[in-house]
Amino acid sequence: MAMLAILRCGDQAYGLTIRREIERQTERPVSRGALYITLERLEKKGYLRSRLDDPSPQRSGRPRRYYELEPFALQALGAQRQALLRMWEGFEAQLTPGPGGEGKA
Amino acid sequence: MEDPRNAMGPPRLARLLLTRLLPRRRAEEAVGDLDEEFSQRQGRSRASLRFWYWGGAASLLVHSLAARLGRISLPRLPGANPMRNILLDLRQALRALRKRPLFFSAAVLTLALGIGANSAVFSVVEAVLLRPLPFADSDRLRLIWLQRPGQLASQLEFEGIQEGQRGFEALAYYSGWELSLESGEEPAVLSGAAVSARFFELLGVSPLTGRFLAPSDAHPGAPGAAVISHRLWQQRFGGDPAVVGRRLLVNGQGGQLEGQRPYAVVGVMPPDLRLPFQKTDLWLPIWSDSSRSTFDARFWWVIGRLSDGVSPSAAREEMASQARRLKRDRSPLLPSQRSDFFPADYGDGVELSTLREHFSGAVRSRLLTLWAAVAFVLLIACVNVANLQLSRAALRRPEFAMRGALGAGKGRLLRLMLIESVTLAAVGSAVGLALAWASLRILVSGLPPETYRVETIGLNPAVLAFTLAAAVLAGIASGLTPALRLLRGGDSGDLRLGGRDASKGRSAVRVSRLLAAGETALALTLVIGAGLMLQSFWRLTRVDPGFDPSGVVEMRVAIPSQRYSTPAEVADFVRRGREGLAALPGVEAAGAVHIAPFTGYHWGNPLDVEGRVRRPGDRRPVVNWQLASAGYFRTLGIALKQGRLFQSGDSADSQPVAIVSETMARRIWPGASPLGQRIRTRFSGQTWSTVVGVVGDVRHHGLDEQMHPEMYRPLSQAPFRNLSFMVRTDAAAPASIPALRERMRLLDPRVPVRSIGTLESSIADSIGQERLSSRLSAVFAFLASALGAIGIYGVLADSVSLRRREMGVRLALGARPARLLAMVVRQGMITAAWGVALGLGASIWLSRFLSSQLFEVNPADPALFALLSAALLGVAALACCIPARRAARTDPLEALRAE
Repeated sequence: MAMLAILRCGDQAYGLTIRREIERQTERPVSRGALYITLERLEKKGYLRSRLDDPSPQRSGRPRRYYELEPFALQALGAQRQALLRMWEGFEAQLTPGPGGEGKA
Repeated sequence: MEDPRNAMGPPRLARLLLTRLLPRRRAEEAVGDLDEEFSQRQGRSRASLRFWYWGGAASLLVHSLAARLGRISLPRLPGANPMRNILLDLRQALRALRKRPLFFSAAVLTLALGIGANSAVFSVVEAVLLRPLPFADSDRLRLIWLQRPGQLASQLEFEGIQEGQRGFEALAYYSGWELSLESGEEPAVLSGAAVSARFFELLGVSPLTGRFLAPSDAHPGAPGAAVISHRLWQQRFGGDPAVVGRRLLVNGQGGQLEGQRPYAVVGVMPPDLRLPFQKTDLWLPIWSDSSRSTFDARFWWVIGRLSDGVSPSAAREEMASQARRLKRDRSPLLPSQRSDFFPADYGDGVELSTLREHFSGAVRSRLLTLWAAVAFVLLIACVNVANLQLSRAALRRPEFAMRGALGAGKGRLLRLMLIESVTLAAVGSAVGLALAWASLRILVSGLPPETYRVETIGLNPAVLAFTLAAAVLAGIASGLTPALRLLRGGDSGDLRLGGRDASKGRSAVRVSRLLAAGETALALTLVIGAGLMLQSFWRLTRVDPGFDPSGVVEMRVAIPSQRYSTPAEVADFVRRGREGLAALPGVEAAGAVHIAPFTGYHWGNPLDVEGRVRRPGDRRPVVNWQLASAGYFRTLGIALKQGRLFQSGDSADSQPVAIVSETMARRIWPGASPLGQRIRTRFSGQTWSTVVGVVGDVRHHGLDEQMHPEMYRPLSQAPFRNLSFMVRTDAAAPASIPALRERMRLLDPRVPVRSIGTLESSIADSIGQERLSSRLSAVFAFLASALGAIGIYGVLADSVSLRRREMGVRLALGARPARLLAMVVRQGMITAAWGVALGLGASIWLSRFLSSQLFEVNPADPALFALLSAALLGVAALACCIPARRAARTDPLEALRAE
């Protein structure tokens, strides 16, 4: 999810924007703490690289850290997507919300 | 922040925490992002900005912590390392608790109240009863009482029992007097002690600096040597390490330390020694032998260190036979006094007590009672949380069945549950410690000021360790029942997800009702205990002390012998003082007395009545002996029953007179008038005094004491240097204190005022222990009954929600709502009634242990028991009503549809 959000943010992908992007697309709050840990792990595993911007006064003198996907990450995302789609095969019909399933339980 | 548009910067503390606690790289990045967003949010209210920032910071910190824990437990090799699994379980527990904030906060609050009360009471118990005494091998030290506990000994007696004894490797004696220290303008009054040669060596303490007293210091003609207390060292000498050799000019006002003498400081005592008194500041050698001549100068404490291998009972036996030998050997020396000083049972009542018993005294049993009471409160809290867990456990059965199916062993599941409840208890105890910290000051201020080490009470490591232990035990106690139940019920049927069948079984309901009944029983026991205490306290405050204390101020003074050397001068000072005080505006009456009521002292004296011949072996009656000025009785409002009071005409030249109390009149002259009779005591020498009046009885020591026979002599005929001026004011008494003190200073600035205070406050202090324990037990009882009521409510609410369908069916079939209400209330009240029955039984058994702390209250008072049981049932009924009304309001259609 974080990697997709980085893709969507383009060259403006840093902590704040990535989080907002995920929140906007999923319509639920994203825990700040969890996000940074995820980013750090992804970078450690080699999916991301990051660079530091110049410090700005709005950030009390701290630099932004911009993230970018490594090409290898794009491949992994693609493979993941394929796997998911294969798993979903044949179940699409049941996804449409209908009158039967909800309400009583 | 540099940017001028920003009205405020982010909260500093939050930022500090973030930069300190986060790994550096993440701190840079995350704090930067947080600050950036913060600056974008400017314009909202300060409070909401702060709140927002703190929320963000908390999220960062918690995740960072969790990630660190996670790194430790990441390699998930099942069972590879128990510590790792426990950490994993801890994370699970935290996650599970976070999901149910309502349950979490209810349980934490309940446990916090229970644990907090325990920590607070324990910190007092620890300082007063448990912490080791500052003496080497203190359990071998014993105080020795020759006739009965509390009876002091004379020097001659000490020598008699010491001769040839082997049970103690060392014996010493000591006593205390008030002293004043010459210093600058006004003399400072302090508590001094005279101690025999081996006193310090026997205690096994070392001086902080310098040395203790040596036998040579007591030789006549030796330069005065003094050991000072840690407190005096700090206050008067500023903790100066070179204090040894500093000089003190000491004025003694009585006993072995009469007169003025220079002393040199030779050493400093370590803190906490409290011998003979908590406030003792100066230890001096005994250097006057004046009291050696008489057997009944009994004002010495005797202390001994048991010899190796000698049991306390053997030592006591030896002391008793020493005392009997003393009586046999010495009696012929004092034929005239024999029966007074050696009663027939002399030697039979020898008692030994440990220093611990001596220091903690009467407070001990009260503290233990309170400790038991808070333990009950904690127990109730545990039961409550157990019940909460039980109903939650029912909802979690599918989850546990799933875990079991995935391979978690029963032990692992049990551990997970217990770790959850211990986590609850840990959070509860953290909150509880905060509560304890906040309430401790109130608790300590309610303790009698002479309580041993009262100033050292606090949340020290011992208290923290106790709290931790209490938390773990509470966690296990509250988690075990639900955990075991959950495991027993865990079969594959529970795997059906969705939890529709997540109901408690009938047996689970039974368990939780049993727990609620137990809670009620505990609560009732506490309520009854508190009721007895409160009733006793109320009775105590109703006791008529025999005088009217309202508006009376007591001012203790010591008239120095250098300035007032003759009895006439002393008598004159007393007269001038009395008149000067009485002339102040707002003062209604003034008088003086040598021992004011509720000071804790009395002088018992054998009495001779003129013309009465004693048979050999008869003891002379002992009466309390008092010296009072004219105006004293009127000041205190002591009633005159017969004859007259002291007058200004009663002087050294006129006929010696005395006034007796009603009890004395009745005992000494049963059925006859004492007026005109002549009496004398040892203190009056050979002169006979004529009884001129009879006054009402006064309780001198405590509201709970029996009346003692008492006689008064006028201060004008028997002047005394240590006395109290008593002043009745029409204003609020405390407000007049500065004016009275000033008046005394004008009269003679060299006469030190030892203490000044209202008589009402001395009476209040005398029942301070009773007040504290009755108030605290009332607080604990309130807590207990509130928790008990919550317990019953919880169980009922639970069962009502489980039986919703049944209620729906009943209503649909035509049951009236009122009947449903009655049904639920009945169910709850049966539980409560069982609890009350159990609690009554327990109370009847337990209240016997309270009887020593009760005053004129029957510990098994049937009316009180019935009243309080009814009250508790009433509370329980209220607790039942809420779920019952919910049951009665069930909408049948909705209830059935939900199924």
